[in-house]
Amino acid sequence: MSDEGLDRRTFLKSAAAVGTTIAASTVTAQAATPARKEPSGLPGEKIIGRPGSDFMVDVIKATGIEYIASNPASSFRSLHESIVNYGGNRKPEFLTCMHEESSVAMAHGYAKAAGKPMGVLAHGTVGLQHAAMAVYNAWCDRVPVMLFAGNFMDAAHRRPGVEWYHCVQDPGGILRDYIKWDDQPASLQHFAESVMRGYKFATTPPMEPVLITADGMLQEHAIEDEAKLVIPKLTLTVPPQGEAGALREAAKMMAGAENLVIIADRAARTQEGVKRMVELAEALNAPVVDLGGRMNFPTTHYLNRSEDGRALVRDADVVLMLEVADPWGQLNTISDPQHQYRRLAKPDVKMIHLTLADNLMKSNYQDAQRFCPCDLSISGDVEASLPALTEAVRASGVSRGGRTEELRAQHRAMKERTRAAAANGFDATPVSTARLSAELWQVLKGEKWCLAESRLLSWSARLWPATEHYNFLGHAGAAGVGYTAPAAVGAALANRDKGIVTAVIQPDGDLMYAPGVLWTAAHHKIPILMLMHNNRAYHQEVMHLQKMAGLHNRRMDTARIGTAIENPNIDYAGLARAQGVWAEGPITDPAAIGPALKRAIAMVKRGEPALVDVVTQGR
Amino acid sequence: MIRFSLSILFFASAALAQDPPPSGSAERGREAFLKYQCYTCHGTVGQGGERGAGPRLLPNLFPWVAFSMQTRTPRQDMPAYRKDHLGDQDLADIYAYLRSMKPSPAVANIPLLNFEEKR
Repeated sequence: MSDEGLDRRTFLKSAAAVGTTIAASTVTAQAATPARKEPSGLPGEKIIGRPGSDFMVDVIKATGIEYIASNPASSFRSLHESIVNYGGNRKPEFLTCMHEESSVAMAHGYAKAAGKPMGVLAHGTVGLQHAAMAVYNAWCDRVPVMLFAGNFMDAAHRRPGVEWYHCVQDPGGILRDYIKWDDQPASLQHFAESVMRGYKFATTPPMEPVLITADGMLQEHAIEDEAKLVIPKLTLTVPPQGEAGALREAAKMMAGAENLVIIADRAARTQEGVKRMVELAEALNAPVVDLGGRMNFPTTHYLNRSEDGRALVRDADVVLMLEVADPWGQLNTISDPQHQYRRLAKPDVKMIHLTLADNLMKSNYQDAQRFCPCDLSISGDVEASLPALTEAVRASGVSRGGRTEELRAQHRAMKERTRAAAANGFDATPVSTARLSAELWQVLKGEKWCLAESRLLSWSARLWPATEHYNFLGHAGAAGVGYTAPAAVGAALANRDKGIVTAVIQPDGDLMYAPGVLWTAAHHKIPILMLMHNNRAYHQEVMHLQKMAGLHNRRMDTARIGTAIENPNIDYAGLARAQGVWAEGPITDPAAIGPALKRAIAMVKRGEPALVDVVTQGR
Repeated sequence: MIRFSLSILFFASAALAQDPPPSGSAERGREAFLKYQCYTCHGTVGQGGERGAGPRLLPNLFPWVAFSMQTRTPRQDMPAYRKDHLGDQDLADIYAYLRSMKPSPAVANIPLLNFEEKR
């Protein structure tokens, strides 16, 4: 320890020689090696001019991570300081968060919009405990997040008291059931290699969060023998294509189908993926049901039949599933609340599943969904496999073009039914959810737009013309409440520099899990249009209470006890304004929504967050 | 769902001639519709809800017998509202409330629902 210290005079004298050059794969010393002298023994004279956390910042920079979302915490204080001062708080930039759950959910939304991971910094104990639910969401949504945890492994160096509460033998143990990989590096070189390995693992489909622990003393101690430290070159893994013979077999099965339906969930990773989905669907002239885990297929395309899934499955003799999270649930159902089984598909329907789900092997959490027998199971990334699959379909000589006009008519009929359904109660107070969606479209339709959460209210995916992969970002993954607001802010951050306007229809209960993310949006100038779906309840749970009361032959009028968020009503506009966010509401008159949204979008286009609170129907 | 609805309508139609709707108060019915939480799934004006919520009740309200059957001994996912906790008069009032509803405007008359399709 003592020989790591530099006296202040020597340090200042040598400071001018500090360099910041990073070779492509080798870090050179940043500070000229100063002459050392015996320490005076006064603690205040000790200076560590080149802590290990500086090297950690070099490593993080080498991955291309642009942001680190975090609540500040002592177990990574050195890394925090290095990010800010040594790294210049740029790539990565430190994002000040109000809850670790917000940090991770921001990273979750960011990754889906940016196409690459964000970093998250958290205490190895209480921080990861706060973060856990959001990590589980990201796990279930197959989204990469680079988690870093601070921890003092060497008990001999821990300060007494709180620091012991905030240390843990095995930080990864908190999350290991729902992260892809974790490591607790024992040296800086180990850290560099583990970060690169973790980044590769996280971004290789099926993408998932990973956790790297940054040991507190590794952060705070001076770097030893820096010339020997190497930051390994980062080369991302090319996603795997399904085996060619199996894809040909799938093409053959589909070519012979009478009623074929394609069901896609987390299939497209990019706009190229959407294009490839269209090419496959057109080659087969087959209807596509987009389950919306990602934006897979244009809502405007005549083969989009996302609302007709049940009927299409019922009549299908072949179903092609593309990275579907719950394949069993597409072919079968269990009623609620009676739990009665019902088959939806024909008993002899042929099912093909192209997925990487079989590459994920965890036991405890049940996100694998019910086992679904399959006639042809192909391990492969959908987007990478589609060109070969489409080529195999074309080579099979399939000709299904004769049904085009019928399919066009069915698509038009689906759209007309949706609009007719949306018209019901259009002028109602509280405001209908269809009206909410239609009003939001009016201010987005002239923009490059992104709806950061597109399934809690599905009207937008059903009504809006959407053709771009960035339009819809799907959902939380595990339905863990508290995702929507922070994920939307993270997505808006990624979209900020792309000229994409980000909006979200924000449930009230979800916002109240960690409303401090509004402050984060205001502080970091993250432009987002947040339209409150304020039904003043945990509405899903109201309905569950009713179902149980009906099942138990008990009274229904108590269903809002423990489920309603009223008496007093929450002033969401006030909540937002208190944190520096422009806001209006609560709005109860449907006619007042449009003008408020115009004012809000003007703020967003100036680079500010804005919130419009609308009191809505339950669903 | 369609088969279920048709069978309900068949029996309901047969019964309708013998069992007209009881008299009820639309005003009391609105209060009961809210009190007994019908609106949480079906919307305050019977417009229906999204994803896991209830279907729309209007237009084409079930005939009284079918409506009553579905409320008391529901098929599918709706909770059962039995007489112990929703009296006959309350149910009749709710039915009167739903019958009193004005039809929603047609899609063609709602400019906000005219979405442009690119292809």
